[in-house]
Amino acid sequence: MATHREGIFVEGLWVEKESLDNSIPHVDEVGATSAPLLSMAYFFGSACKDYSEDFVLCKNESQDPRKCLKEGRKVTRCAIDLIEKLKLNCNKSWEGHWKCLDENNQMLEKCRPQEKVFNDCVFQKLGLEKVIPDAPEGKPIHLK
Amino acid sequence: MAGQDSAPAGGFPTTIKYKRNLPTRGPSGAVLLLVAGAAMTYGLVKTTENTRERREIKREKTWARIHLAPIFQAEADRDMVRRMDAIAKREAEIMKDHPEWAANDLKAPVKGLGKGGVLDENAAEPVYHTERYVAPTTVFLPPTNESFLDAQWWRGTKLFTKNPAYHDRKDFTKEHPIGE
Repeated sequence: MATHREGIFVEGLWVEKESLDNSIPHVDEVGATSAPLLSMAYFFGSACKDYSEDFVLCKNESQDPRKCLKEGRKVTRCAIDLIEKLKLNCNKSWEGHWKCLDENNQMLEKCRPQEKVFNDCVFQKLGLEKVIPDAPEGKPIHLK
Repeated sequence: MAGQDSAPAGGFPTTIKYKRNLPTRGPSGAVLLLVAGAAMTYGLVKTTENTRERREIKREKTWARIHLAPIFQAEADRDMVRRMDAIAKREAEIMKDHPEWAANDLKAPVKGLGKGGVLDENAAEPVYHTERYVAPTTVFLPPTNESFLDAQWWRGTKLFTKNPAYHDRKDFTKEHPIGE
């Protein structure tokens, strides 16, 4: 779903200084960059599956952003929880994986050794496993 | 016959080579075809293997993006609500003397708009009649905002952001560009 085109004036980029209305509960933004998010994508998919599904079903009913703010807050809070858990338990291996991704144009196939270390740590400490849906039978690509 | 160009009596000297020499050597045609076929088969097998591997890599990346999409959509939703509320607030501020004005609402009745989009002084129809959400295609951003982010932030430079034909015209003022 597209959001908006930026208001680029001659003087510069127009910045909206107003914040959200006080009636809407505040939630911290996730704030992570692309590499950490990419490496935790599958764990987020399995850990926060319920909230993501609620949010997507709500979006299917209506494109109005106001209708799905509540489910969106739950998704964001779940993501932040997962990031904190990962930082607490598997910070070193996670950092190793996403720093490798940063150097390799976010290509997952270039960082298999670090990914193996990280996935093992997460499976051990948090019990989350990386599963690629709709993959054909046989060894999955990330385990070859 | 007289005048025919033929060998002298007894034949040419044996030291002169006059017969052509085209020995049949090297692989036969069948072998060549087999080798070419083998090379093509090998190449095709390797290509299909590589294609399947690339498809699986693409599948992995796509599913990672699918799993992450709700995070970004939720953030974008909050941002859109923030911006739309701010725009409605500014509009209501400007139109505070007109209580019947509905700010930033595409489903509010518009005075003078009749059925079929005709001008009708007595009628008041909304722009959109649907129950679905309609996002505004254009919104007004006041150009007198102090919080502009410098062009060099995303563009790399502030050069060539000024248009002299527009900005250096005699009747250009900051408050009311190009005359009153």
